[in-house]
Amino acid sequence: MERISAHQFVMLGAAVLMGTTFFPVAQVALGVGGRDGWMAVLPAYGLALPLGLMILALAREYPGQNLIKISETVLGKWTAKGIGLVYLIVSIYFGALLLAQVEDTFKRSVLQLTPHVVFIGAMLFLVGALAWTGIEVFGRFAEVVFPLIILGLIANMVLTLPRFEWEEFFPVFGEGIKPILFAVLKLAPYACEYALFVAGVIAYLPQGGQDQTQLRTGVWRAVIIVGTVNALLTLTELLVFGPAEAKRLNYGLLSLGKLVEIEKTISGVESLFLLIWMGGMIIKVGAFYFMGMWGLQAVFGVQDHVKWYLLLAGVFFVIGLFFQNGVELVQELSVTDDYLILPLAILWIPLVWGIVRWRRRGKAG
Amino acid sequence: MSKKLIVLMASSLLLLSISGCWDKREIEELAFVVAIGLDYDAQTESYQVTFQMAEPSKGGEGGPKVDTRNITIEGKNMIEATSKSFEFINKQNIPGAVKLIIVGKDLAERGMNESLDFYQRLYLLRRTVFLLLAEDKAQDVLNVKLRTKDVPALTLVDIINNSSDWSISPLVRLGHYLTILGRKSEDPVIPVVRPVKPGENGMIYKADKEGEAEELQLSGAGIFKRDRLAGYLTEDETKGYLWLQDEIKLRLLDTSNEAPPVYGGRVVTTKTKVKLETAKGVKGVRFLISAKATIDEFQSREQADNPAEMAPFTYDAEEKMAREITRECEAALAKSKEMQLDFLGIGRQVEINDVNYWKEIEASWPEMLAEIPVSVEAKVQVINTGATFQGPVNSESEGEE
Repeated sequence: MERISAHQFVMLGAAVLMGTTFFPVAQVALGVGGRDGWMAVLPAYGLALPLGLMILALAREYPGQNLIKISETVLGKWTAKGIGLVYLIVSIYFGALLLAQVEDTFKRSVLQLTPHVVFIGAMLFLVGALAWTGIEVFGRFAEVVFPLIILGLIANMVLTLPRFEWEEFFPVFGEGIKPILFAVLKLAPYACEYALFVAGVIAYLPQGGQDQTQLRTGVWRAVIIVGTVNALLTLTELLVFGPAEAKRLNYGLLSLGKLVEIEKTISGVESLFLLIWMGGMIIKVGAFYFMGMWGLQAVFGVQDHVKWYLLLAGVFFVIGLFFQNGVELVQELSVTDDYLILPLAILWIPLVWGIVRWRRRGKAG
Repeated sequence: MSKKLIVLMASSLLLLSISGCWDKREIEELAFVVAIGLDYDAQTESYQVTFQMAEPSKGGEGGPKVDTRNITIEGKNMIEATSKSFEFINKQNIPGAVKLIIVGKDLAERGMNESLDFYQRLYLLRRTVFLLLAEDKAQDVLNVKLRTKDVPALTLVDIINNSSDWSISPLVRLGHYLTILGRKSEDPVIPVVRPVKPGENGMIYKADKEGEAEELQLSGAGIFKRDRLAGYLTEDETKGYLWLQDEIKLRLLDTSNEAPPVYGGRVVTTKTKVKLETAKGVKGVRFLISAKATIDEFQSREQADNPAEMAPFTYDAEEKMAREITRECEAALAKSKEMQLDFLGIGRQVEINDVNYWKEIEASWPEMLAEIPVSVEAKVQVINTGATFQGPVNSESEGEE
């Protein structure tokens, strides 16, 4: 079986956790949490920490298996198949929605007249090819692209410094702590998306004792890096647009990219930024494509054959093409996040982990 | 790096470049719209949208030149006007080059958000474009044939930057205007532009065509109640606004409102701080302005030719300049209170400094603006007197009498 290194797991995990969340994070955080909403970002991503560590603990107990397989041992075959089916559906549906979001992002900005089928088809070709070459290549892709995304985000934030309206930062805690907590809850699904990916990728992790420590540290690192960068990005959007504008803007990061102007020499670099963001989109859609494949394998026992990759790509294509209304799409992504991904992750992972731990204690007792 | 990965990354780049060619247009097919003027005609109940295009051409011996082409289109909304423009413009209208949007007085009085909506949604149009308010019609400003033969929009951009550097009028971008609209406690301000005929507003020049305005002036500002023009700031009030907003960069200042001797100076650094203070149980806002200035002009027959003689004059200049700054600020404050429009962001300052108090008074804002005590304290420090201590002197006291 294919294996990825601990470093690849860290970079892949971080890239999936980041994914395309840099697009909506400020709008959601400031929309729900108001002026202090940026404070909710790091704690919300922090939810990935307990979930990720629980999954790694289970992977230690059941090496070479993903969480659906582990659930078969812990919860019974049919319960696990049921959960696996939900995992499969959620992965395919959400992955296809993200695919449609790629198209929405480009059509709203730099490529307004390019037909839908070009975006969806081109992205699927890349994602499908990436998946077919295997998780190890996917890991390497993340190793190259994730640092570029982080550098791109930092560059964008720094270059918009002249547009900062510093007073937008104040008053701090003007509305108390409650809106921040609501924002944490609203952002929590981003961490759950990551946890569901980790639930599948654990089958490919290295098994050595030293690797285990690196993997655990890797989860911490991913959460801290992504949480901090996205919190700073939210803060940047707050300081540039103010809370009301940040809430009103679709994909505020795109508008932020357009604000980059260095005197009369450099401007119009938003297309370069979009090229970098596309790397994040490929990783995120790719992650859900992999998850769909793992779900198919675990629930229906399908083999690693090209026909299943093509079938999955076909389903992604149809769903992706169906959502052409950007407003509906954003709404659908939010609903899927809130009512499918969040409950699945926070119920399934702690349940399996809790039962395994309880049984082990029982045996020890 | 594995071969597969290289192939994948190369495919990504190739695919991206292919999609970019989908809707490509050659540069000569594009119309570079550099300014948009928005007017409203109450009689026909329609908008008049002026597109100012800069058209590069080969020019003569002096190298390439840029010609101006203006076209004003009437429509019931921005979409209709834009759509109609394609009946007249032989090139693809590209809003990515827009540098400024000028709003006519009639439209500003009616409320301009509905017409700006179309442009703020356009991804190609940057939020960094400048917003100006025309004293009368926006198209009149854009149709001015400048003596320099330059494109009015590009000249205006330079005037805006110059005027912002010398703190004559506020620099307002579309993005900033939208951010201010998002604040419950603050109203927007937009600088005013006008065509100037020979002899008007202190500008004397010889026009190529008699009776035509061939220069543009940026001074004063329009005050808005949300998106509707509610009044104007005079030059002094605008300067007061800039002090209170801490938007002064460099500033030329004179003390001609004071008793002689008159000093002229240049403010080189300044900082405005805002404090919420309680006096006799009443909360008020206090602006503290500190500035460093040079003395660049000293209109007096009394002269000083050494530091010891000059020092008292610098102290006098400091006091007079501080009073001048205070006077300008008080003029802006009086206008704000008189019009009950919080364009100075006093409510926002209360919110920043004491959010609980703000919540108490928020419902009665801006009506309460007239009641809340606001004070200004300015301090000026003269740092030098330029190249000399004293002005030019007549030899042997000739002419002193």
